[in-house]
Amino acid sequence: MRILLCTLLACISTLGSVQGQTIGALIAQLRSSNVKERVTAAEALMADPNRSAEANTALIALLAKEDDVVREAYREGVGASGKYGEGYSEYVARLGEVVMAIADKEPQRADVWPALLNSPYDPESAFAKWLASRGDKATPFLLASAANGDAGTRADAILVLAQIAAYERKSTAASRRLTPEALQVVEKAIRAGLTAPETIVRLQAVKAVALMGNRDDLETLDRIAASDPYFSSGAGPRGDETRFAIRDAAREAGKSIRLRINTQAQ
Amino acid sequence: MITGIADTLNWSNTLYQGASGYLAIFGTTLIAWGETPTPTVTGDGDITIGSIIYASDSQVNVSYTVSAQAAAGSHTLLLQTARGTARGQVQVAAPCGDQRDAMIAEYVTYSVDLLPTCSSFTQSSPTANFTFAVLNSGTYAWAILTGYLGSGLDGIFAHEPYAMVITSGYRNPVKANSVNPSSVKTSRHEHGDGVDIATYSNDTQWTTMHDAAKQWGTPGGTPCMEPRSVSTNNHLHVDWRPINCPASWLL
Repeated sequence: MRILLCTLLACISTLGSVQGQTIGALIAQLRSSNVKERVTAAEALMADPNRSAEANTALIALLAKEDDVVREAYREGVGASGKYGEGYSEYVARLGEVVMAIADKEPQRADVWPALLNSPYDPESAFAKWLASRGDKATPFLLASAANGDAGTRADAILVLAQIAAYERKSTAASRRLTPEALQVVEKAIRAGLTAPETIVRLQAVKAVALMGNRDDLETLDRIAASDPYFSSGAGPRGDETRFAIRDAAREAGKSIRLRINTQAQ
Repeated sequence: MITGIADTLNWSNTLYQGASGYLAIFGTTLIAWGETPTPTVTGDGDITIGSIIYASDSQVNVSYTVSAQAAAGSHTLLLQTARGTARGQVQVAAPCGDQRDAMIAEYVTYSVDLLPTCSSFTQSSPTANFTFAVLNSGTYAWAILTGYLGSGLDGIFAHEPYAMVITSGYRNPVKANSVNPSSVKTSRHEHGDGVDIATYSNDTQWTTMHDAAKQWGTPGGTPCMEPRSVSTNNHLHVDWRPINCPASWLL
């Protein structure tokens, strides 16, 4: 299968790396300050289906390192894809997928969750949905992010917390990962975002409430739909429309919750 | 029995006049259950087969060269073991006769994970709302603009939360390499199914454009979008790759 999926020369190179270099040498290469060297070693280790426990530990540590690299590039304003290229961001994403698989096999590991939760991801991605079903591991980190991060980080944490809350609400008692008290804390953190001064936090909080909200949220959402001040102009196909993105999202959230209430009532 | 033959660079069955590279021959009992560890592979007069790089019952890899004068069309390769001879077909195509030949050569030079053919390129926009010049960030008068890029952009345009500006579209490999050498082998901008949209260093604008874009994906999915924490909030990278959008990106 591996031969089917990669080019001939790349295959030879990959197999040669694993066979020709000791695992120890590859692991040492993961600590290089040179991105290209780290990527080469990581790709060789990730491609090895019989990876050792030592290699798994090294890949988790590598993801944690790349998380720092991504955050530093973000702080610099260029972003990791701008600084190191799209190829780098795709490599970090692949590394994250390998670490997800390790987390599935060894969820009790202490090192795996901080590396995954700090990694770059879209709050509506498959990865975020995967996190939603592991609320016991993700919630403490996300609550901290929702309280203390910059506006974008807080906003995205709120949207993932909402997926956790929705998952918990839908789960049976046996498959729930959070206590009722912990779930209440999560829901309170999400709703707090509705009144945040930052538009990005309000926007993501409204989308979040759409996922987990109930009848009690409708009044707030209706008020936001009528009065949230955020707008953008020059929208639409003729460029002459004014859009109120948060009001629109609140209207959609209200519709979703009403639909959910009606469905549950039937 | 041979079930398929593909150039290992791009897994295409089409080879070009004057080209050389490696072929993967797929099938069953290609080394006769080990009885012929190194089978004999021969081309016709137009295709020369060199050394065998790898051989197993399911796959044999060989080097090849296509004559510059090879006839366009179907050509037959033979694979011989102690148990008999198997036949397989490859197609030989003529050069495009314009800038596209240089563009295709760039894909080979930079080992891009795509080897386009003449018909991969266009000189017109697949959308009524963005001109070819806007979508072509390359250095030639041709570009690859493919897949759901056109319909996806039209969908976003109709629902744009603010005036939508594309900052980068198709890039030929030389251009992609100048933007960032580490991405030159795989960039979706070279595949012609990715664009960057300006989001003006604003988290809310990034998110509203992201939310507008996510409705306009491939059938059954959203477009593939790079996370904001990777791209920053100065642009939204959207592409319509057919498969392999990372789990941590939006799809």
